[in-house]
Amino acid sequence: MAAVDSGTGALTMARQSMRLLSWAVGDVLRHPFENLLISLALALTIAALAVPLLLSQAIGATTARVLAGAPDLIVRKVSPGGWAPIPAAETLRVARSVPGVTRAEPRTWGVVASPQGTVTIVGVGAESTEALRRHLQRLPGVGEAVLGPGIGAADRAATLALTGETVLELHILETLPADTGLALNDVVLVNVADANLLLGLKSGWASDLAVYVFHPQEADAIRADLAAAFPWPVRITTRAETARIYSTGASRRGGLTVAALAPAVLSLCLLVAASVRERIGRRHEVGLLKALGWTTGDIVRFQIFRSVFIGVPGTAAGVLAALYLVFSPGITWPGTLFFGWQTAPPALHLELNGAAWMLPAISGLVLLPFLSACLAAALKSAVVDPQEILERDN
Amino acid sequence: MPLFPSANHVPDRLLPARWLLLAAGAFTCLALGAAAFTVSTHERSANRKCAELARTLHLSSPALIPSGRFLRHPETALRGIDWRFSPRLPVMAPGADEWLRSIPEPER
Repeated sequence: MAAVDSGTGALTMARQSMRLLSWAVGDVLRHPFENLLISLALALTIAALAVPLLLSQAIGATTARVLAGAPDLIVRKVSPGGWAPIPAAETLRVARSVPGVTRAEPRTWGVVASPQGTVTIVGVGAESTEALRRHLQRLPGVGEAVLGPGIGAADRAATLALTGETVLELHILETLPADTGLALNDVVLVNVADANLLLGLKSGWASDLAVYVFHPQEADAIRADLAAAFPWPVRITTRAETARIYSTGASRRGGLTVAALAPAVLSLCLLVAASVRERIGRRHEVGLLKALGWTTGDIVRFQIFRSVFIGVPGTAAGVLAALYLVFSPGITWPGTLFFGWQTAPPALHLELNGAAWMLPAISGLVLLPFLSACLAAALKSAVVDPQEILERDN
Repeated sequence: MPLFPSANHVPDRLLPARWLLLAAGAFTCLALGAAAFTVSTHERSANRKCAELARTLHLSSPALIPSGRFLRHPETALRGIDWRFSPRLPVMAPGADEWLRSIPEPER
């Protein structure tokens, strides 16, 4: 019997709550623009906070994924004037003699000038792997070049002039697709002979050495042995260090953006809080409702329902906006805004790792204080005695 | 409602609005559904080709930053002096050195 009673009571309460909710929604319509502005302010606050944080997190994750197959160690010969070229055959022999090194490849690359700005050239030799042949229509021969998507977008000419130690006019074979932009946006693949000419390298010399080890954790341990094995001073960079530099760089930019946005977001929150407090704290409305027979509990629930009705759609809109701004395939705005691209920025396809918990956390961070402020204001106004209001108004 | 409402008459309009409740609920569900759909169907293989090319070319840094910037190819220690940009003395004309040496020193 008691169970039936409690079940009926819960049903009655649910019906009453639904009725209150529909009345609360009706109350929103009494001040539609004010409530719409509060909802938009919440959406903007969430989007403004979420976008830089999501972006920095996603860039870190995506960079780590793209660099997952990168060389474990990069060995560069250094001289008092900076880095120096290495004799490929001797360097390979020395590197392979170090226990733990599974593979070593000399790289020919460097930075040269082009009409589209500074570009990175990468020398491709005849010994290139099958994977590279699969992705390119044809490997670049002497006098030919394959352009990264950022360079191709800037100019559709048939040739590209590159200026390094010498000036070369290269015939453009093809432009790589936009989805390779994260690694090759302003990279030009050229024949290794052309790369040597542009960088001023003699035949048989290379820019640096890519070293692979059996297990990534060995990279740090092997570093000292590798440095000691070479007869000249070398600087060795691990993959983890490179990934950390990009990750911390993106986090720093995200943090700076949030810091720059913080005063604007705070002022927006203060305006919203003032508006909500003023709206909820209108005592004559509370007095009128109480005179009509509403209980204090009814009024508090009414105000909470109203706040939830305003806050939840705004939060959902903010979450959606942040998600689409950051994770739409091929976004280019971060390159222009954060990374200083003057030419076509890389089209990013960012990884979603971490967004699933970050978005609810940011939404809660904004929505909960909003609802708490509404609850406090509602409690304060609801406990007032109608007699007191009548006396004050008179 | 009176035909000519007085200046003090303010319509209350506190009426239940189920349609708005339904509309807002539908919007919220749609927005959160779209967000969930985006998360679940996000193309995780989008960077596969990019990663494969980077691995094949032994690239060690992404192209997030333009080529001319130092961070594009980071080095973890201080850079040496790039003597290419150091000030240079004017080049002496050919034969000037011998001519200068041939000038007898003034008597003191």
